[in-house]
Amino acid sequence: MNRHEEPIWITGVGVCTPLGEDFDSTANALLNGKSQVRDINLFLTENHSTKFASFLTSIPNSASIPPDRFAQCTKQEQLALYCMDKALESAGLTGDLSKKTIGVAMGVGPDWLQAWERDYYAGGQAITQVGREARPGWDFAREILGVPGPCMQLSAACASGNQTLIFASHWLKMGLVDYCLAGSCAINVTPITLATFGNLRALSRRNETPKSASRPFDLKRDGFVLGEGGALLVLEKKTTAVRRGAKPFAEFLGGGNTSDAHHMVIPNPEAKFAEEAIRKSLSNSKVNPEEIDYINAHGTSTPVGDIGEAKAIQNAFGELAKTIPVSSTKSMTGHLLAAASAIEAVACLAALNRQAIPPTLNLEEPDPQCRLFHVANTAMEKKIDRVLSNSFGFGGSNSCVVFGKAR
Amino acid sequence: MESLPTENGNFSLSLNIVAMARSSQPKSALAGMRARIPEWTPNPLGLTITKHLDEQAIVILETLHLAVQKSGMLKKEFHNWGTVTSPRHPGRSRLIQTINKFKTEGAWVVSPHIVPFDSLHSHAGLISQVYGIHGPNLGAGGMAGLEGQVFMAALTLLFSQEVTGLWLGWSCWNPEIGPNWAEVQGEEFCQGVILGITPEPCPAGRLGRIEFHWGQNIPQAPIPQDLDFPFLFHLAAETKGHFRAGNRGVFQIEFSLGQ
Repeated sequence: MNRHEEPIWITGVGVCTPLGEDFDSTANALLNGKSQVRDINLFLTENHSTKFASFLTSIPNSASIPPDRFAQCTKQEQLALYCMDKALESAGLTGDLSKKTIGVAMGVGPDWLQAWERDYYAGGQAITQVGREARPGWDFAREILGVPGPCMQLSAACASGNQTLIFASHWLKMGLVDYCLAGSCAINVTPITLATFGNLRALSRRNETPKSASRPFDLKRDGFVLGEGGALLVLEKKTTAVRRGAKPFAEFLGGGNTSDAHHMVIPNPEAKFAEEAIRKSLSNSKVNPEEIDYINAHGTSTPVGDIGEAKAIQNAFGELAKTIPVSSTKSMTGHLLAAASAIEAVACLAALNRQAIPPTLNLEEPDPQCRLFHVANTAMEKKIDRVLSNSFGFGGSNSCVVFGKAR
Repeated sequence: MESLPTENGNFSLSLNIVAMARSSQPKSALAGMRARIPEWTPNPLGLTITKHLDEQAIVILETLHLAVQKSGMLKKEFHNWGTVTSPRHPGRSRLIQTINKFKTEGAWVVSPHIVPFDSLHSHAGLISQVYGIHGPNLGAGGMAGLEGQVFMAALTLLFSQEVTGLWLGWSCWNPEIGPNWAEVQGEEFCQGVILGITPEPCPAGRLGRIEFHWGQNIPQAPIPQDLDFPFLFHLAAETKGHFRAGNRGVFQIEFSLGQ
């Protein structure tokens, strides 16, 4: 599709994780190798196999809503409202938005299951009130802020965040929207979510040392760490941004999607279609492999997943895989499931803006089956023009995207 | 694929409907249907998968099989297709049972299958596995009133040339089932609708077409009917119509069947 091809800029970032509540604080935390993985104090964990996570205890109030009303919102609504508000503010899109066509592409995961569960513990009966389902938190936020354009909640499991960015860029090219909010907000740390992933044996069980539990590509990794938070980015065409004087965080260059068609949960060990997603993302971005300066890996810290991703990177980049720095910021954020790649997009913007690569924490002994050029434990300063972000999810969803310094 | 700008600055895109089917199964039939899943899946699913599939997933697999069979595409490969599905709130009955067991017996009784099988993306991942589909697999919408989002996703994927065809699926309970699902013996039906769409001609011919119109100057025509599940279910029979599925007059879909 070349007819409407022109650069897509990212001009706004709204982010809230245990590591930070805006772009600068989040970037600082990631580049300084901070982790907020800790013992869960939101509910009793005594009979859970994993007792820690990276979680939000509170969410800052959004200026767009009175504090008492904000306090009545669900945590999911608060997070979506905060991230959406901050993203728009960061992009300079404030005031009356009703005349602007601002779309929303929101990645979701098991959101309604988690919403029902939290409501149930709070004494609510939403799960039994058939036909009166709560609106998604993001839709509530959209209404409060008066964001008027087309919207969609979509899910590619843990690859949802990248998928929303790809959709947003297409909607801009299609002329469907003038601006688009894309990303995901996930409140994942609930008793059932912790238990279901624990019983799947997907979570790390390093209960004695939570901060060292998320260790992507390390030989002694034993699973991922559940995380939560949200990130929404504002995308718009360069011409629109320049016309209104908006400053870019980066350019969204493109993305590629594939499906493993292998298993509902287990990634294809051959990683053929993860590799294909990387290749497609480069091709659709019109970027050559040697132009990639940094790879933000999906890197969940699961034994099987990390090996598959390393293989995909090695196969897609060949000899270059020995020289392109790779890190997984999940070592600091935990795995935010549907919001994972949205947060990782922020990590990529941090790398581009600060010209430094956030590290993989706890990478003490790289797994010989994951031979890559790891950025281990401390950030690396480097000239960075283009960044690849990988994201692979349940159902075999593979979604990779490329960001660049704004042209 | 090029979209075609119209005189007033709007865009349109025309696609062929090459397969369609619907199914409505009473709750009492579902146990027997679970045993028949291997008949409908070209790539076999493991027993563990089959055992834990959500009821809507069973019906959507059956409906997809019907669509493939009726359209003469049983031998077709769907490698470069994609799939977008919209199960409506799967997992309600499983979650309430899980919460109750969790309260009395603890974390160890919680099924590891809840998130993989009962999320918005679950059916799309399942279909991609069963039919060897390597294009994107996505969930969209997933709630009553958000069914049109499947078409928005389809339009986006086809516009961007990521796929050569798409399986679109919707499923729900009618009426919606409550938490006492296991005890109720009423007339609940689990229903599914499948459409196969492609910009390419299909050997078996087209069953109809879908036209997408979008832009900032789409006229604010009256909306004859919401694009909801009942509409889609009857569309699969013989309905035609003109609908606004998007927001603020920027997105319309026009169906014409039997052409």
